[in-house]
Amino acid sequence: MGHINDTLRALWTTLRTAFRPTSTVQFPAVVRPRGERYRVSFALPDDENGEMACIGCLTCERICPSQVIKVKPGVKRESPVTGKKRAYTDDFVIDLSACIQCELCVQVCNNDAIVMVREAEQPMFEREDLVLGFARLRKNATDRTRSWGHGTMLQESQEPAKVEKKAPAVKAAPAVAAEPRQPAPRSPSRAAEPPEDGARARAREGARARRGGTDVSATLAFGVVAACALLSAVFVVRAVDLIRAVLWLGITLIATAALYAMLGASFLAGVQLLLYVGGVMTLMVFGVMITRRHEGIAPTATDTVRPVRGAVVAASLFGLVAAAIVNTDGLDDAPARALAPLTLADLGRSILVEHVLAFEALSLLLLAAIIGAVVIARRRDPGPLDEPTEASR
Amino acid sequence: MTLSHCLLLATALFSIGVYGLLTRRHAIAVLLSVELMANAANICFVAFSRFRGGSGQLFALFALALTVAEVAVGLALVILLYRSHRDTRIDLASEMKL
Amino acid sequence: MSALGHGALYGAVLIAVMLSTVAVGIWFERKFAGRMQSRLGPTIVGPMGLLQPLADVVKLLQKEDIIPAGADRALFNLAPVLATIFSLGVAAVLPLSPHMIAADLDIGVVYMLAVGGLMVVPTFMAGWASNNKFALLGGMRAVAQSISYGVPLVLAVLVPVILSGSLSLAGIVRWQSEHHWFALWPVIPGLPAFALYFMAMLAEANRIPFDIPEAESELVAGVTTEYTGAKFTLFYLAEYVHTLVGSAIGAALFFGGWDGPFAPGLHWMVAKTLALFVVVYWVRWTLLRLRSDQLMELCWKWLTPIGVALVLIAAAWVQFAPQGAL
Repeated sequence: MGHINDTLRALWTTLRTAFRPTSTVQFPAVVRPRGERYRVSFALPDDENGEMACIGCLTCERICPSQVIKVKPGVKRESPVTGKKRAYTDDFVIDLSACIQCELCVQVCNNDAIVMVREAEQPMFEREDLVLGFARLRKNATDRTRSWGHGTMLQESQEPAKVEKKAPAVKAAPAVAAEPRQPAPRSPSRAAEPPEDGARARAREGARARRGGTDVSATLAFGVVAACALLSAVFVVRAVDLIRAVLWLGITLIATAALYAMLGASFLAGVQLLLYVGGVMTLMVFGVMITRRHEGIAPTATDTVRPVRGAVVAASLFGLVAAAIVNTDGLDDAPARALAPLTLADLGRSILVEHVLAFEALSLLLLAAIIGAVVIARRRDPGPLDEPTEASR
Repeated sequence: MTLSHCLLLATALFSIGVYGLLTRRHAIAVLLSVELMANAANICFVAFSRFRGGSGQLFALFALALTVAEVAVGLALVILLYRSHRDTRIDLASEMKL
Repeated sequence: MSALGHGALYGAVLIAVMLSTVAVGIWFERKFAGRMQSRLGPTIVGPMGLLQPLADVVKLLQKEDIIPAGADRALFNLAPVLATIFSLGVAAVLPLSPHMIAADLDIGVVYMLAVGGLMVVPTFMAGWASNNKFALLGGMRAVAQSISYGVPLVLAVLVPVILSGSLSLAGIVRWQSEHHWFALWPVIPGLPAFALYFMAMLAEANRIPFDIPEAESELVAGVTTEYTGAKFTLFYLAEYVHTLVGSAIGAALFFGGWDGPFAPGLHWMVAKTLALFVVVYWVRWTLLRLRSDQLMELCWKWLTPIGVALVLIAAAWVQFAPQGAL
């Protein structure tokens, strides 16, 4: 009861969710509001005099845990604006593909010379496009909205800690460059292909035979079915691969079912398919799979013995009986003279009225077979497992 | 299609089954051959009931059920054989106890 | 010959309709599954992602066709084709409306069960021929599952057969349109029998929660592990068609098929089929996969005894119910 309850609750939950607004949005079309301190990319802003603030002190390069910052300090010279001597930087590169957005570089910068910007994600097609060069860093300073923090402010907010924090920042651990992942293919999808229609044709064939088709077409159909049955039967006894033998038997049985349908026993044909092909054959396959050898080699039947003697016996048996059939008169009834096929109701009445004893005996037999099969195949002593069990293989 | 056609087909199938029974050593292959023979017998039943009347179809239905039972027990035996000999060749089971 | 031509034409139309339904069904499933997981589902390809199945097909067909070394090539290639044929074969006896039945067999139910039962053949063929242990395990599981769940399936189907006294699907639907739907009355064998049928149908079609032959998390992809490209596409198609046909048969057996007021019969049949189809998806995207032993326990210890009891109750209804109660 608990399971049913849980199942129903789970179903209710998913159904309810299905009619609620989704928690995801279609990204390029809809952009969620960003948080106030959202930060993605970098910029190298100017100082209060309108000059680039960076002096190439390398503090950010040293602190960067991913080591994605490369600064090339320039020579000291007089500032054209203030006239004082100051340091400049010649080149500044940040590789965003490995940046972890920790903002440490911003935090350690004493000049507020590097800041982060609130820029939406910019997916790129090439990894190289993620490398922020000097020009883009400078451009970001004017084009993009700055993020919340800058060096002075971040340092002030950590004032007590800063007193002790003279030592060089933690030696940056070698970073593992994260490979940009390709999006995995989505769930496998399905397709449509025009298939054949064998079973329908077979059913139609059966229906036509019941109506009593023309003599020629019936004989032709019989020929085809008989050829199928015989050929596949030969393969059953000759196939080397046992699974193939079973499958060939399946074709024999299907052909027999078609023959039953042609003989007006369509119910029997259905039962034949259901029991034989659906049941017996699959059981056989299961048997083959369970008893395959350890090496993983398919059980083969190459070790046939006495093929010649077997052939002689079989051929003489066939010859004898066939001669008897051919020499017996009155076996060549045309279907026109045949009796009306048994209806399903007749069959049922016959089973449950005339032959009810046989029917009950049969059910007893089936019960006995079930119990017998279980008893025979049961493991007698679970004992020490000196050999691999079915489950562990 | 006449009665004799059906009977000839059944005989041929039966003979093929006999051939398989005599030549195969793998237990499941033997079982397959037995299936072929049972199938041939069923064809006879149905053919006779179609051309001569009587309860042949019914008999075939019963025979189907019998075959299913036979396969279940037969496969159980095969599995037992495999357990005791790690192989499924039928002539291994020649010592009357497993 | 004209009857035959008619049948062939009708069959072709039926197949085309089924395949396009499957295509829309794929889109719908992905959309619905997305919604159930609070996602949007496909949106990019076509308006509302409607062309997604097409894109999927193109993607699948472009893939390299691989046949593993040591595989049984003939069986390996045959399996997906057979799977498609068998799954579409059942559709022949579907009563879409009083006048639209490709083959109104008087043993339609037996035919349906028989051909549906054949579906396991290509499954284990694929498992065996792949020369892969995961595929083989999947094949063995498929065989065990199919044999086991065939029993409750037959028992569940027997209930409407007993109540209506007909083995023809069209006959059963006709009976229901003259009296009442079996899922509604008599409630006791009817509704539980439908539940039983539904579960067994899921198991036969290898759908979650009974998809242990595939079991991605344990068996990579079960029997389809080694399949790529067009062959994999065929397997997927077969699975969808199997589910669709199973839903249609459930609608016909328990919900009166084409019976319904106001609209033509065909509309009702299609609407009921699609409703069941949606329930299959709903279950699929909600529940977890059962373990192999749980699956067997559910089948043999619960579903089969319940099925036997339902058949007995149905027989009792037919025998003892007062005139007009049934």
